[in-house]
Amino acid sequence: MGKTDWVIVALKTTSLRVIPELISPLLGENTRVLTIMNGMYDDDLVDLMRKFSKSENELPCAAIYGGIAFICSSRINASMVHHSATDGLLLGGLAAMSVGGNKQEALSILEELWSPTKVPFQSEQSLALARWKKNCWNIPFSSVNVALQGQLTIEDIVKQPSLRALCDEIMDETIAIANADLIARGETETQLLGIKEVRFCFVKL
Amino acid sequence: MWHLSDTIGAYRTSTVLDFMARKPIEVYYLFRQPLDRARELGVPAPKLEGIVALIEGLQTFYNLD
Repeated sequence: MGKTDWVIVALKTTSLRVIPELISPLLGENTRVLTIMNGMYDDDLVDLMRKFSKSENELPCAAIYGGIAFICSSRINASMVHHSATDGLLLGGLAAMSVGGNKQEALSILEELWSPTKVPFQSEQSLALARWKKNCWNIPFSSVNVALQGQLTIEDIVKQPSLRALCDEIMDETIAIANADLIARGETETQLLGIKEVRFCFVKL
Repeated sequence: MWHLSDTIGAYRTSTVLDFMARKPIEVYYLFRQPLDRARELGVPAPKLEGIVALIEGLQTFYNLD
């Protein structure tokens, strides 16, 4: 296949460590890498990519971006994806970049990639902020969903008052962690998450 | 966020589907890393700590690393 302009990685983070080697045949000095995955993995991925590079501390590619998909999809068997969100495919907080070059310019290049597509997207200067926005849903609902071993669906969980209250408290905890993290990363006050804003926001772009 | 949860229907997150299929589950970057960050920054998150401990117990029991 040879070197490519873009590499889009959409693996589970359980495979994070294999990413540099897996994509290395595709990487050249002008290649840009976009990972669209869940969780707070960006710092570790950048470290892994740097370690993999021939000259350590330099990236083996032009830039690394993080993406977040707001799509409510599940793979229900080997060849079928069930997409249950009612508003079509949403890809959000797409363009925040971690490292490499001028941030605004890098975001523009990513926007150029997605603009001709039918995928709604938004770019976000702070990748951490974009990650935390999705975490505010994922952390409470997915954790409770997993702890119940999938015996209850999200619908069952929100209809049971005690579980609804638990998710609400975990969402508040997540917002508190998010804001502490964003402050520690030097984000400005306006970039912080508000409890009302998170609770009542529509996950739409 | 609540609007999404209230209208999402009989949905299970992909991590749950992985768990039910006994595949490796994304516990570390989804849950443990944010909790470690909370501890580092002195932010209490007792409810999340409890839930994540249960999930890590399931992960160990079913060997889903």
